[in-house]
Amino acid sequence: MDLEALKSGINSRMEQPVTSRSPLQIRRLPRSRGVLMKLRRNLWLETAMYVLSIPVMVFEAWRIGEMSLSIYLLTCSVIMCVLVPFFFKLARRITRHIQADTTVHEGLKELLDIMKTYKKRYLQFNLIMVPLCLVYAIVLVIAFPGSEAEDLSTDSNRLQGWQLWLVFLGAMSSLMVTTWLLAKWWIHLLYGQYIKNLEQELNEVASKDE
Amino acid sequence: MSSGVQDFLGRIAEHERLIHKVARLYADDPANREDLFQEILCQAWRSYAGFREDARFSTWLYRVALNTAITHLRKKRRAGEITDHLDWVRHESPIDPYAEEVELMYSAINRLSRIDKAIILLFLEDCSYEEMAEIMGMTVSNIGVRLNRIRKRLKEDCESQKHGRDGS
Repeated sequence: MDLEALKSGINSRMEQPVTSRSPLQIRRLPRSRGVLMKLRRNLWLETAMYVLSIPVMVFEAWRIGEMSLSIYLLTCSVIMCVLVPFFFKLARRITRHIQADTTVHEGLKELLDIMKTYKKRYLQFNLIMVPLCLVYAIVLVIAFPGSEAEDLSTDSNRLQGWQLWLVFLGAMSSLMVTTWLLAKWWIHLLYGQYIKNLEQELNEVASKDE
Repeated sequence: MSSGVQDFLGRIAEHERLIHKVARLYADDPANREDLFQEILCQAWRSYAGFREDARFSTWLYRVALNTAITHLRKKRRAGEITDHLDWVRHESPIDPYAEEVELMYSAINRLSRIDKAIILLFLEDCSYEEMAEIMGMTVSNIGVRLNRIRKRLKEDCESQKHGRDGS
């Protein structure tokens, strides 16, 4: 069988419609299931939640009048203020990539870079937020004993300065390690194999003339 | 409907077979194919604003379709679900030997890596090496080397399939 006949045979097989839907339904596009669109949706959602939460937390810190809670809420607001630009920047980068006209090589490179940045940020932010919020809350309750935390503060008053620091550092480091491991496991479960596949495909495209 | 949408839809309708082809090659079962088809369509619409009129529409659409297909997250199949491309070959199993050769080649193409599938797809579309390099972001010489290797691999794969069938 000659090459042209083989080509036209395979082409005609591959061209069979895979859907009965017409592309004219473009006005009612389905929700994209692409990885990048999901990441972008998550990032916009997080950004919107932070932007809405920050004024509420600042207002509550001012209204509530209790020192420990005010310090806690204000610290969380500051951390959120630091995180928002990162989320925003990454979401914008994804949008630019989605709209760009790139070769397969460039597209893979940029996508892999975005995925790695997202993974890195996810781990970093988990590492900051969870231990800091939990341990910081405990420390504040101890440092500013109030009526609600009387039992805890009575016990904690028995601890001396260095002991308190020891407990604080111990709790912080163990929480950080646990959070790191859990976050790493979770992000790997979600995107580990996908990133590995992308790396493999990028290597294939990027390989020099053999 | 705005003229931009109409213009886009008109162009897509002309090249619709191209999207079907990519979806068929990169997704194993009908549900995934339909998903991928829609995903390519969505992606094409999103990046249509960036399409430069000096470029060929088909080249641009190939870039979008292949970028989407190669980076599409593969869904894990549940136990019991089967890949139907082989079934599809079996269902349409014809008597004449030419069609059998086409089937063997088709299933061999399906076993290639995602990047090799893209290259062979462009080859089947009669794209020039320059055009393939433009779409893939590879050098012309690299395209030539890879294409030779893919053809050799396909030939070997088809022969081993043939021997397997004859033997059984």
